[in-house]
Amino acid sequence: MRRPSRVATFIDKGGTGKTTVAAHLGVALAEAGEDVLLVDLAGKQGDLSKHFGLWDDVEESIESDDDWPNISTVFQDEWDIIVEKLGEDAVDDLIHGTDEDIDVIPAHPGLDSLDAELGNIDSPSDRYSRLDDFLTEYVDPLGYDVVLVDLPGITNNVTYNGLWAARNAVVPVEAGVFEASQLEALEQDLEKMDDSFGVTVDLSMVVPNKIDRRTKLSKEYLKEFRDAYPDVLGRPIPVSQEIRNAANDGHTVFDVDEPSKTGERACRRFAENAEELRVRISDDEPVRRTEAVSDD
Amino acid sequence: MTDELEELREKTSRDDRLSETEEEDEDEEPVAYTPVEDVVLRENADQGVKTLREQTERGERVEGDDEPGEVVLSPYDELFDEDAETVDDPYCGNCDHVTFRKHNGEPGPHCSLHDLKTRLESSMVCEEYEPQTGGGG
Repeated sequence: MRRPSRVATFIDKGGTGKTTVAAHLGVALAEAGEDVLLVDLAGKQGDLSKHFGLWDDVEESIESDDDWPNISTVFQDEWDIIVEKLGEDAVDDLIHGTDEDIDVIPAHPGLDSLDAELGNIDSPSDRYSRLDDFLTEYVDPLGYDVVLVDLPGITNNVTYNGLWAARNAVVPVEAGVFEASQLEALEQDLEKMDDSFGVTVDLSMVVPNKIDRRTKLSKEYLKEFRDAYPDVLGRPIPVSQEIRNAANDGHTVFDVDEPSKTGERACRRFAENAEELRVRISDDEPVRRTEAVSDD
Repeated sequence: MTDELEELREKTSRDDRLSETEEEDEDEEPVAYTPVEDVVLRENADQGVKTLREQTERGERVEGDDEPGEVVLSPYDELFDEDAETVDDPYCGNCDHVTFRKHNGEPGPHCSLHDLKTRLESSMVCEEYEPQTGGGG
């Protein structure tokens, strides 16, 4: 059985549109024929779920004390035992269907304390491989083509889990000096993961997001990104109020009936990026879980 | 739910972990409220406006730089901007740099039509703006 390709959207900075890019790339991949699962690790606010109108249900389950197990549970030592007791329901209950032909594992407030809990695990390889273990054992058999993980905008034990599991990073950037420096920092982090643990995470795509071509600033930074990342720079996504309005309405801009020209252009660019991403991640090794890792 | 499952649930649920923390905190001296967060928010807001102003000044509209009637695409434009783009969103787009509170579910009138520099200079920026401090995406 071929393992699903895995991708994580990440940059150590808030507000660049990681979740928006994850949602729209996911739908674009689905429209290209891929069977896609989105995993929201980006925080208790549940923005990815809001993109698909799922968050109200999640909040309702929390209020009615019907929110266990959830995505934060899969990182716990007891997860295997829980699955043993609950059977397939344990995994099935985590996954929500959407109206846009993709599935989502929503975030949960339990993610808030997860970073500190993972920090208490002495062995680095155990600390960082919890998500990889969960996806490999319980999600891979479900037959998805692509598993796309949305990570928090901060470097912590949760994001290392996401990168460790995904091995492919998609980095949304705005046109700004902070994004440029954070991209450099991310590259250094990825090198450290490779050096320390033998885990190679490819920088698969840098996606310029919320680009306003009317400004010189956007053009200047786009040129810088293009010069610095010529092989992985994706098509720039235009700034569009319609994307925000769609998110507020609980869907992506792909699901807008009569999109504006800017909305149409955003969809086209996401589709082009998704197509390019498919090619880049399709070269993944089928199974990499058995790679030797060091606790040093 | 069996007792065994209930035990697992309690052990791995967020409420349980939080309650452990709360119990540990019970012996601590109560901390008086100081409006530090308010000061930080204000400083962040001031810095946000300053940054926005600088970015806007650097990012002045480019249309005026071109000679009238000149249509020459740079290699960059050929790569990125081959689409004939018209801006048909009702909002200027510069609002990306701050998060405006919504008015009846929609961006307020301060977001409409005018570029950010114009809004800043004419004091049209909503007083309720918040600098974007990250965490989301």
